[in-house]
Amino acid sequence: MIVLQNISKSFPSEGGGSVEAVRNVSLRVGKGEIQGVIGFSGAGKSTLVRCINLLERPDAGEVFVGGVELTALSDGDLRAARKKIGMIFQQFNLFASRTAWGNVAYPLQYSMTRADRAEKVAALLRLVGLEDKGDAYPSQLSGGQKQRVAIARALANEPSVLLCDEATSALDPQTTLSILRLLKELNVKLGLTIVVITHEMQVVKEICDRVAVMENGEIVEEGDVFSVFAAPKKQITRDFIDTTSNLSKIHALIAERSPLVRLKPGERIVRLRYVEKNVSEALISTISRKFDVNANIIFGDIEFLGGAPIGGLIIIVSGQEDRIESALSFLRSRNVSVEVISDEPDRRAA
Amino acid sequence: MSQTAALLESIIPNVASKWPVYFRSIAETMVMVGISGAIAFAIGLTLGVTITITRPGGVMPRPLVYHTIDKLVNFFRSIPFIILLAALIPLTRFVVGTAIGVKGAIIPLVFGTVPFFTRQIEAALAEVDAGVIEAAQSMGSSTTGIVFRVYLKESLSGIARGTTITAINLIGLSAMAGAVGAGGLGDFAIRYGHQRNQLDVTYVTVLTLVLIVNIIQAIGNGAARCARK
Ligand SMILES: Nc1ncnc2c1ncn2[C@@H]1O[C@H](COP(=O)(O)OP(=O)(O)O)[C@@H](O)[C@H]1O
Ligand SMILES: [Mg+2]
Repeated sequence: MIVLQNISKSFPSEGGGSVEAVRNVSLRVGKGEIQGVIGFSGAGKSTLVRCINLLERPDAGEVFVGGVELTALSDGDLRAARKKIGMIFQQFNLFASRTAWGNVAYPLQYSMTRADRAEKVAALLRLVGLEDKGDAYPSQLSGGQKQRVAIARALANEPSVLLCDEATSALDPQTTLSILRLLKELNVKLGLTIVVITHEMQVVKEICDRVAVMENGEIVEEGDVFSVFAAPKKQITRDFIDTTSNLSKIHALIAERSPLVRLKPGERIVRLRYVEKNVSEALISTISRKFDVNANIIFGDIEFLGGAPIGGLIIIVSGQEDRIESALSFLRSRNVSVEVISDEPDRRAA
Repeated sequence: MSQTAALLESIIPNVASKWPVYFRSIAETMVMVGISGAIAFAIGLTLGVTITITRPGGVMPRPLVYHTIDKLVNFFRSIPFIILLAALIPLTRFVVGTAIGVKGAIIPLVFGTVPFFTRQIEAALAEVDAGVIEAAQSMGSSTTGIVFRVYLKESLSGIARGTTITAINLIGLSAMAGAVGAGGLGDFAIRYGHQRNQLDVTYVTVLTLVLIVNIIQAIGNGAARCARK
């Protein structure tokens, strides 16, 4: 549905040089997919998504949407093409001088009769759950309601693609969830292809089928959400995983010498991560039984992505040295990533 | 009624002796302000919109157009009005055939007002959030559509405020133009109040101007409030 080919875009920078906001990025988004693009602030995500509808014209590269090369269109044809590419923003960008109804009607203005338009606007407001807010001005709506109006407005011309630039970043967690649910529902109901730009891991986990990780203007990792997050290849991807996982808290606990993680001689702190989709065995009880080691779960963080568990556990294993080794190799053979974080006994405990 | 007339005659004798001149002066001021204001409004609005959309990063960047308007506006804004009045005499004569009277005042008043009003419009349009313009672009709006359906509509209240300030400014300028022979209240005050030392004429003129300015301000505030919705 969307094909970006070797897109580059730089901006003149303050100092007189230039910032390469996007460098040679290629990306394909299939029809009906929800593609996430995650990256920290300044990674070039907004620039990239704005290149899709040519709000930003790339310096190099081609953009295709629905098989049409947008980068080759005349201004007039591009405007027509944009009607089929909806976009929503972090700051909602509603027209303050128009009611919710007026905002949704805006893109329809010339294309239909009054009656048809009224019917269409009513249907769109119903679709986003705001049928009774038509007369409200944006200043009278909550953040979540504003974004719903923006979504209805973006869908007015029945686009096949919806671009979301940090659409939930200005919303509280609860509202974020309700907007994400709405996007997912639209994806299923209308077969809408959605590109979601975010710096929040939660958003990607919640609705994306695929994810691209951006850093310094480049896509450093891309794939289906489970594979990328189960077996991250890049440090930045791990950093993102850590933002929502408490598995990384272990380092803080060790640093502050928490009693939770004080080791006796022979004990080890181990991090286990599920990296394959087929983990279903009761691994902890299996190793306890089979190898006669004790596994004390310090904490766990396991959730389901696409129906498969992802995340892992921090455990302290104790037992005979060689038994522990065999237990760990057994786990490795079951496609669990095993990382010994510490085997230093606490001196005061010793 | 005759009592009121007698009272007025005793406090403002010099005005009371020439009511027709006084009222003609008010009418002349209104005509001068009305005509030059309408012309300046149309030109200033056009220039303000043009400068907004043609600036670098605007919806239709045209550096040459932008810089030309920008420099011209700055040029005319830096000329004191009293000098502009004198400097424009040849142009005024050429265009309207005379440089005196109400007719002769219109061109200098337009030149004196347009640069200021252009900046007022520019400031009002700058209040429209760039994100909102971007949203309109993302929906496939044309430049014309963005100007009329977004810029002008969203900044209506700012435009009302800028227009009010400009109109009040214009009344001040028209009094100045009056002083150099254009008629109107300025002429009235100078001719009788100053040159013939009829102080009551000056005071009545001042009160009249204060009243007009207040009426304009009240209308402007109402319009801005209406538009803010
Ligand atoms: N219009 C612009 N002018 C100059 N620099 C820009 C512009 N837009 C983005 N940049 C720069 O490009 C880089 C990427 O920005 P952006 O795409 O907004 O990143 P993100 O959305 O990931 O935070 C940043 O360094 C930013 O300063
Ligand atoms: Mg951004």
